[in-house]
Amino acid sequence: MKILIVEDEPELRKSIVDYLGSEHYICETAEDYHTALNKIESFDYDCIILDLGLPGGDGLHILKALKQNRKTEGIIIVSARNAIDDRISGLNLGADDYLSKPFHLSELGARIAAIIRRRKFDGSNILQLNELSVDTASKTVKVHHKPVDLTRKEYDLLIYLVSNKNKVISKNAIAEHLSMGETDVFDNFDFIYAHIKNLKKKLSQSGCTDYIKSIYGMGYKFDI
Amino acid sequence: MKLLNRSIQSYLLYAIGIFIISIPLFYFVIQQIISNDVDRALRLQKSELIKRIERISDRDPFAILDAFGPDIIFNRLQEYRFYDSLYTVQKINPVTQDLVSYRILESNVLIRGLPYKIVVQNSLVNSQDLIKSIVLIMALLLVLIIAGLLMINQKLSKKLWYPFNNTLSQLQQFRVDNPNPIHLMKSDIDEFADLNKAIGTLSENNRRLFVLQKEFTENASHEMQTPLAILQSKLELLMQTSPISEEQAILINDLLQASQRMSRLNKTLLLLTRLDNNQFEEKERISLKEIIERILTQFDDVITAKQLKVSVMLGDPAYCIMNKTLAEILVSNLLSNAIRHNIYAGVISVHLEQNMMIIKNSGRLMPLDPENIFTRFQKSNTDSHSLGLGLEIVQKICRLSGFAIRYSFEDNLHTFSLQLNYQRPV
Repeated sequence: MKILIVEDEPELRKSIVDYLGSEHYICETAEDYHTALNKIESFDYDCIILDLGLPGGDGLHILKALKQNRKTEGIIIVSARNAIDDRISGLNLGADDYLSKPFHLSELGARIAAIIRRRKFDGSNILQLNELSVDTASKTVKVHHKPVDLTRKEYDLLIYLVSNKNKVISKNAIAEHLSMGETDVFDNFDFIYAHIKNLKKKLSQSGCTDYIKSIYGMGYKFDI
Repeated sequence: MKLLNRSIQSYLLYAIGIFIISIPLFYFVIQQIISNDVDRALRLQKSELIKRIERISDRDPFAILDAFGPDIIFNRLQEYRFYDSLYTVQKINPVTQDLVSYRILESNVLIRGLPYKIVVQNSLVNSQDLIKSIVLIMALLLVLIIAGLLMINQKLSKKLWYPFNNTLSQLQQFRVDNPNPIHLMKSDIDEFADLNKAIGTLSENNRRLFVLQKEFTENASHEMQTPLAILQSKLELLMQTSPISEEQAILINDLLQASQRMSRLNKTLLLLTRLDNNQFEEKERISLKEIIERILTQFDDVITAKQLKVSVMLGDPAYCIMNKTLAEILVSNLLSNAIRHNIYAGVISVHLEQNMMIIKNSGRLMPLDPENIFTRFQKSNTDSHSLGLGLEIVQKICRLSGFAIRYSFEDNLHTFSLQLNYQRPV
């Protein structure tokens, strides 16, 4: 999987590369508008992470150029600018997703995974993780070919963990993902523990190895 | 009390005072003048009488007495004793049968060595009528002057105070976040012109300061996003390293929590500046019912965790015209507020009817201060998860959408009532 990271801030670029690089993605970077345009014209990518505020030009123009060249890359806009306007114009111009800064790397990982799944496998995607198989089209989970009945939240949680497999994911990131950004209401993240507990119980009852590890003090990890 | 009424009040009091003093004064002065006049006339009559009697000395003076008329009494005295007196008495007028005041001159005289007593009287009836008329005219004048003053005052006040009232109404409508400067009318009255100038400068300065402050918040929040993103991503990368001791894990988690809070604060501040900039102009027809239902599902985890009893009465599937993003933020903020400040196993009731959205929640058994509740960073407790900006956002959204919001504490429930500019589905 080849990913282009268009981001002018070197440290953030490095963070994204470090995080995604260890997930068997091949990452290339572009630090300004013209480099990004050149790379897009010369190579094909599976996914492009696009910052809108770039030196040398507006990221939205890159989006337009991609669509004009009929490139089929998945595009995730990452922006620190006026979130709502950019979201609307970005999505209207054909971006697949939108993340406003600051964001969790695990969230970015999950979104990239979702876009790549959608694009590569034409919606008939089955994630096979040893005995565990997840059909992301029908949103069903099977262990040893036997279906496991999960709630919507448990399913979302599993996908999130799987998309960031072998990575420690903070409870904060999980809470934000599950509540769609509305973490203000929570006094604590105990509810995540409840969901994790149920998910682990259901999986192990179906005979699945206990892949979900609790990392003391920090969060959880899908260890495979 | 109006300023003009205050000044006319003083004028009126002065005028009334002068009239009250002047009427009796006038009365006494005129009475004095008339009485002097009458006295002089009586003395003249007396001396004329004496002259006439002397002229007719050859005859008995009593023979011509009838010619003197009823107002003169002439008597012979036994012996002469000096007596000369003027006095006023009340007597019945023989003609009109009225009680009338008479001025009487009683005098003993010697005519060619013979003592006589002369009494000359003059009715005061005419002069009293005169005084009465004068007082009446004075009173009439008083009424006329007061009425005239009031009328002139009324007329003048509208005209004179027009520039002032105009300025006042402009000031009442003035809002620092309104980009249009206030238009004050020109006045050729120095005081008003000065006032308008001062107000113009003041409002302009206020507006400029507000804009500067807004821009600062906006720029600061924007600039903060990138370092925050770096901080957060590095922390996440740090989490992936190994080995991490338990002590380090807790430290990382604490750092992550803090950066999370900072980024939430940052996002909220950005939202506030966007609300101030009125960047949510696109309005559409929205079903609040759908939004409430969706957000309640979003919150079901925390509702379950807190064992809250949520009763929802979404009767009318009413629609309202507002910005969709704002509608979601509004409902989300109100509901998260109701959840966050709730007690364990408390209640929340959401009531939606044609023109009202009422959200009630249990919580601390003490009403909040309705004056300050919508103010920035006004926290009811030291809850670190609360930013203290939620209700300010709610209020701003209400203002932009033309809703009225009211807080009350009823039956031990904190109640937020929103009056909506509802429109029925077409």
